[in-house]
Amino acid sequence: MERDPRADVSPAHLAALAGLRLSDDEAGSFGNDLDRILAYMSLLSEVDTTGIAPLASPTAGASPLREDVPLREVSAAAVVALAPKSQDGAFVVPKILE
Amino acid sequence: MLSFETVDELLTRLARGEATARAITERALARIDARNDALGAFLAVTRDDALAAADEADRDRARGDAPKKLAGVPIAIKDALCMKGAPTTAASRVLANYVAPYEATVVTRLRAAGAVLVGKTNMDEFAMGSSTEHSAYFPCKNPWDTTRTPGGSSGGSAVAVAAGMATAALGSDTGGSIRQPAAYTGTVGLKPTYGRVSRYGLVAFASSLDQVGSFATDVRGAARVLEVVAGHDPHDATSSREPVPTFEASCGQDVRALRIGVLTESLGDGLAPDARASFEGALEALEGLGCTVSRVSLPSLRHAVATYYVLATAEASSNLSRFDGVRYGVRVMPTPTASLGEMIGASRDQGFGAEVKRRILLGTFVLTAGAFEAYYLKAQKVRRIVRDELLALLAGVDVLVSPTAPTEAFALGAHDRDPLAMYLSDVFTLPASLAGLPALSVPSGLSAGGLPLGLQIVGRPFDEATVVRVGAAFEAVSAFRASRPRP
Repeated sequence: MERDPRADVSPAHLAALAGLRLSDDEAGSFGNDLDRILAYMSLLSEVDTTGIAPLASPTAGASPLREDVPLREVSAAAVVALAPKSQDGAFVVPKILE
Repeated sequence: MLSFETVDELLTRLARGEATARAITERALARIDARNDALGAFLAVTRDDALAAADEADRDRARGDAPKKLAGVPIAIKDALCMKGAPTTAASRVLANYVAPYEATVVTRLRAAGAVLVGKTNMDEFAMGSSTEHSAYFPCKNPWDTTRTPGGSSGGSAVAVAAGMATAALGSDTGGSIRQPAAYTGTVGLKPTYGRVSRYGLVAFASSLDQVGSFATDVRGAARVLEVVAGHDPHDATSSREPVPTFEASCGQDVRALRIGVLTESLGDGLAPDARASFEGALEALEGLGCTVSRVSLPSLRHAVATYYVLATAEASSNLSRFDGVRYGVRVMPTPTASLGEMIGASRDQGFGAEVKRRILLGTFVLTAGAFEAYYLKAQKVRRIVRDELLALLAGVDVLVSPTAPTEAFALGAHDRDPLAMYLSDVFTLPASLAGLPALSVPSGLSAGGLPLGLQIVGRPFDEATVVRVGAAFEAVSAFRASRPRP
């Protein structure tokens, strides 16, 4: 018998993986929601998928590629202007090296 | 009732010189001004842009230029689509200050066809929801009964059309986000085949499922808008090179001898009695039109909700990782000396609403090493089973039909404490999404409580033409057309 992977559901752990911060209240209520939703999703285990290949996209294989020509429809300045903080045409983030 | 004209009626009056695009646009804007506080359909109104486009349409007509396909038609745009120079928030706080520096291909194509873009419509945050209550700004309400949701996630676009604030609208549909709100608001909603329409400029939710589509008051209008926006776009590698037929030409075509398959599993216990009665009435109408109606079976319908919510949340958790407070969107520094990680966590905490966080957590879980095979990979395999079953059925019939939703529009707040109940309400729209098939919702009648119900018509890949043909034929004999939202 395989171990139930749901045993590993911890909202705090998942939040850390997802770059989210949760309050204690949120962690509690999301934990309950995830338990219920994942219990419902265990319905999938009843389907016999032996020999079935995963389907990642309904596109039947061909994704048409365009010519490898650079397009500059949006200027770098317009993109950087959207940043919450920028300087000299670059994004500014909190210091990451001491 | 000028505002409730169909696209075709409006274009006819413009062509005859009985109205100007400016007068029509002012009327639409006036209706938005009068009703948006009560209905919450629009997050932004692009008044100057709209009036400039209307004046250009009038000048073109005065010069005798060949009329463009949507010249002078007021159209609303879901706020998940970038419209250059206008706010694009996807109804999230994280994008509260985002003004698009580029434009979605579908929006550019509407402009080129002479459309008048009146504003950006409300939605569930990042399209995650089935009620348009999960907007970070304000909930959208159903004009038929403002204690009810309009459905979602494209609820604002549906309400804009239902309440005469726009003649047509664009929405996006990941698991039913065009079809279900169309059904709940008595409008027509058309989700095309995956790949039929470019997603360049659409805020991504679940990339293997998202499609842009149209709303209108009738099938012909929805078909015309889709025709304008469809077709290959070099900016979107998933957009197909399949030629785009004149979908509108399918309206009015005979449907005799077309084979209609009824999804037997959609008639189970979860279907409300009045929705069942309406659906059975629709089947009689289709038989009356000379179609051959037969029962078919889609056993995998039972697994559609679980499959969809595993895959869509996994893709969402990945797509939404881009909102980090660095390049665009809201940045929150919890303390002046916060680290990069603390800044990202605080920005996402304050930027995302509860439903978005719930789905990111769920999607993160199904992608963890311990759950990947049992949930994510398993759901991808079941997705293939769903698609293969649908394609096998569509080898024997021309279209498949079911109710669009199991019930009439639910009450605002009905699923506040039970997200799973909201997910389950998507059951009938999910199979076409998982398989990437074109699907239309057309009004089929009213519930016992006087609210609209929809008939869903699903077709073969890239066969929107047959879906539109059946939808238009049904619409012409349906008793629904005389109905309008209560004031």
